[in-house]
Amino acid sequence: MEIGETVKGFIVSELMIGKRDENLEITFSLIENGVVDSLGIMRLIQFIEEKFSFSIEDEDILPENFENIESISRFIKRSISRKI
Amino acid sequence: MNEFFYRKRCAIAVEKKLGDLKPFTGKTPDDVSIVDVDSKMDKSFFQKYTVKHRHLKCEFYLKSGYKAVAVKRADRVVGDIWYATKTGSSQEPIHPDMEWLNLVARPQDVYTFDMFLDPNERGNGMAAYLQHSALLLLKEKGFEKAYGYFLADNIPALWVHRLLKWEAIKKVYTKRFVRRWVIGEEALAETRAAPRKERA
Repeated sequence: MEIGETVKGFIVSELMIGKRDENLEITFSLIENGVVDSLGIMRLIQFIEEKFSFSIEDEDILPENFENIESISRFIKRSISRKI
Repeated sequence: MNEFFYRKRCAIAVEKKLGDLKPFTGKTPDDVSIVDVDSKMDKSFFQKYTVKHRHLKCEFYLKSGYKAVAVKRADRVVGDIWYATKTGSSQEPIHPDMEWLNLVARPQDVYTFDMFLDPNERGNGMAAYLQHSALLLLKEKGFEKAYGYFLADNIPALWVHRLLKWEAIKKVYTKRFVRRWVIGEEALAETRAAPRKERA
């Protein structure tokens, strides 16, 4: 499954409980809409680290890396290529 | 049998210039209001805390000369954030943390600390809302810069500070000396050793 789809699946099923949106756009702001808040970011980081087998450094926990599905996917791809 | 070990943690000291602070643009929680808390508060205010033990800490802080910004949902106090300011010409650090972080406050600076939220209010944007509202109120009071710190392994705190664009100014490493009673797996004592300071 493509990275974006995997991330979207997690966000829709785990972080958007009660307000699920299967048609979530990849540019939908997860921060402004309160999907990725202080607890949501913790769960998202844990999911990404386990699913994609890399460790996210404190320096990378930035709003621009977790703004929407598109930026999260870009960040994951960048991190994976850095690891190789 | 006793087991001794050190636990190393990293604290990130941060500052925020209040002059360029914009109104809150995030998702505002429903039915909330902000309260400016000082020593003139009516006693009944503290009985409105949803978490009982928190009001005892508040009374202690007020007696120590600190002030707070609290957030209420309907008529109940669900969170607060505390701050210390320089009074008169005193050369004393305005808060013990500032001495530990090796920061010096000017009269127009404020040190923010110990943000608390009712566990039932976490995870709905309330933390960012409270902190941003508190900074706006401090700006209205004429303060120019706020200081604070968070522990690097505290992801929710790190996230809120990053969202609100606090700037990291230094890292301070703490070593906690922990003595553990191994048989009962019960921690017996935990004392803070002198921190090692490093520039970020």
